[in-house]
Amino acid sequence: MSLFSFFNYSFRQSKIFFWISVIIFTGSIFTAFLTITIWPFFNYSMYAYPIKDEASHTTTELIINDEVFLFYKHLPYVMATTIENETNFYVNLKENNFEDPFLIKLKKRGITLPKFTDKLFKYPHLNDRDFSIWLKRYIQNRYDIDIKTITLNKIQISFTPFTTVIRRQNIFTTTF
Amino acid sequence: MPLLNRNFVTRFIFILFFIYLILLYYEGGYIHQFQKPLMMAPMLNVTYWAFLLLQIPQFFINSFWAGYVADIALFTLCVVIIFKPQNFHLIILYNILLWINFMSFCLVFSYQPHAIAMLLVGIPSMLKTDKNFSLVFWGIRLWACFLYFQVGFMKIIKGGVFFSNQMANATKSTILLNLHHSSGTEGIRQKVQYMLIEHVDIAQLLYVGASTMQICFIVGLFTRRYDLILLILFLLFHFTLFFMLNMELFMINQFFFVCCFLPWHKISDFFENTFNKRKKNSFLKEFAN
Repeated sequence: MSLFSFFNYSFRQSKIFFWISVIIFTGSIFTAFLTITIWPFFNYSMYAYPIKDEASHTTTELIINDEVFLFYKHLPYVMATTIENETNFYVNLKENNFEDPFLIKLKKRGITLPKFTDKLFKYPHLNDRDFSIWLKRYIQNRYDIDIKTITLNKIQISFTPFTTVIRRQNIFTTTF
Repeated sequence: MPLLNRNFVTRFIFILFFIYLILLYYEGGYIHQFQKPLMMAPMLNVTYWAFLLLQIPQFFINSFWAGYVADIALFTLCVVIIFKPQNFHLIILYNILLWINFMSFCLVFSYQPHAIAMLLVGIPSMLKTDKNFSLVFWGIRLWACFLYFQVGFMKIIKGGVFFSNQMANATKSTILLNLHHSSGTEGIRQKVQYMLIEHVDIAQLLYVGASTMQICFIVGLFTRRYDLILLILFLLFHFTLFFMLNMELFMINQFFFVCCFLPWHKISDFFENTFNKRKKNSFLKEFAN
């Protein structure tokens, strides 16, 4: 069945389904060009825009019981990536007074969101200890380790010739 | 419009779901495994804003029982549907739980993975009639072809194809910590990844090859004659991505699009002919139907 015969057939069978199909096809073009994701439309233009050269990349490092915790080695891929994303997000929040960086980006463009969105983008009660407790629970859920201290560092990694940490900044250290 | 053997296709899809749900448990993707995270990042996704303001993910994530019940129900429904593929009420409930699971995961993950094939392939089975089932199923196939063509085309329009360091920079930005954590114990995959970072020309050649493969999916918008070739391109593209950029679970999510390119009539005829001959095995005969 070709695209044209599909639209032709669905137009004859169900106008609602036809218009849903048109919206889904055109919506995905729209979000790809705008590079945004609004369900059910996705931004499928990632890796399409030229990615600029960078001498180093910023990420985070976890030190558990005075040893660097290699979560990509010890945990499944999804859990490891969740830890990396959540720790990066926490560092961004802490640097912005626990306001979502997306909100700050909008404020810089002069856009103020309604008050009810504060629940989505502000974390007034978030603190280092609570976040450390979540990290401890999450890691211990899969990896057998007695966690006494957690240290989160923001690091810069260069790739020349192999991955090397060139800068380290402590975010917090929590002792349990 | 070619009509599909609805029960057979649904059973096959839900057997894939069964494998997916087992892998999901291993990867820590169930709601009860999130361990009550403190932050969820909705970004610009207005649908997520509504989802969060209605407190739906918070209810499942923060409540011990709700999370466990949702996860157990998701798995149990999948198993039941394999044996009862004609029960569309169960399939509707399954899809609702699957979407809640995935949206909650994306919020906790603080990133929107674009591999959503497994959210779509269950939708046709929610419909009552075989005609609607087939129409929506072929619609999903066409959307998959359109999507891959669009992705490849965007790489040309936005200039990624013409930027010589594109693949090397994409590799660095996607897997930097993964590579860092395997320092000193690099396996074949890490050695290939370092090779791509160092030899930008080879990496860019792979990028252009991937874009070409994606653009070939335009053929699927006009005919189903070359679906086997598209299936091979699809598998080649995603296995390469899995190997080069470590996209494991997300590759499995997108793998569900394989269902769109299979020769269903030949497969269901094969099963029907094979198991009808062996009349003593009534369960297998029922599976073919």
